[in-house]
Amino acid sequence: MIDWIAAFFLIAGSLFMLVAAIGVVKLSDVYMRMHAITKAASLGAILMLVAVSLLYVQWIVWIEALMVVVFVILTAPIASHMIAKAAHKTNMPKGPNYVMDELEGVDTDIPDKA
Amino acid sequence: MKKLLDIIVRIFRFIFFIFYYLKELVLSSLFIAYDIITPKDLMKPGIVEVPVDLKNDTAIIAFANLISMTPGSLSMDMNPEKTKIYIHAMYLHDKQEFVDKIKNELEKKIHQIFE
Amino acid sequence: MELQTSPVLTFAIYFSFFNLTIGLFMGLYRLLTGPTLPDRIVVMDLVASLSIGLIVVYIIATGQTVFLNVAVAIALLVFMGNIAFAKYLIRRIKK
Repeated sequence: MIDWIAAFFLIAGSLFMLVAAIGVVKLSDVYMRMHAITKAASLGAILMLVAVSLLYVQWIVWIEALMVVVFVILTAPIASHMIAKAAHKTNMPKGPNYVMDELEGVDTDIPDKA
Repeated sequence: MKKLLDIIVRIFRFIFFIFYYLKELVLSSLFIAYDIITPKDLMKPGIVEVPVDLKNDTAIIAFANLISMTPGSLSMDMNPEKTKIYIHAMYLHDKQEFVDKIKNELEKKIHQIFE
Repeated sequence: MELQTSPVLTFAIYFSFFNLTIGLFMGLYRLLTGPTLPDRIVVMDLVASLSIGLIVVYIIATGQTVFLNVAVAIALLVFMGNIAFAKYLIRRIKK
């Protein structure tokens, strides 16, 4: 019985990762690709780690899987925030049919203290 | 006594917040998977400026992470005075509606828990 | 390779390996043709998630749970790499 549940989590996680990879190829600019990575790929990794901790009932496996899940959840949005900020500051081209861009021309640099 | 009760309520709200965060993660992944798989292209992306009323740094980090995890929005930048946050939205049909949703749902939750 | 797992789990392992490999090739395509540098940094993030998945599937296939340490290390290092790349991008435009 536990095999079926773990197999379900494995297949769901790998499908989410495949969807994230398709999104990286298909979507039209950097920010949209960031949407795909920071949501679908994180959820895929979490589901696969749930499958591992279902199959191996040991404390060390659970603690390490929990560590990876917490790192992924906490750091994926921060990393995408930094890359999107850097990409917008270096004037990367945006995709078609943008409605508005209120960050255009706004200076958000932190002034030097020295 | 009142202080103890306050701490207990805060801990329960924090646990509830973790489950809410995971629910938003699952929902937004399903949304974006649907968008990627279906071939039609209905996206109207845009970058919106939203005012922030939070003072605490931890609260601001939690707010930015939660924005990145809700369906169709991604936090991009913040001004140095920490009063405005810039959000990349995937479906921007109505700007005012989007800003209201962010302010009323997400910021209220963060305000209850972290401040 | 003969797996010591039940048939359902064996199917799940092979199917997940297949999906993750297709994902890696798609990342390779975007890495080669990506028009700008941030596109390639996004691919780095994707490949990190895919390799965490590959490690997990390998653990289930062979039963060697030691390799979870590698997953922890990857999850930490990729965050550092992302921040470093973003700082480098911003500094490059200032010069």
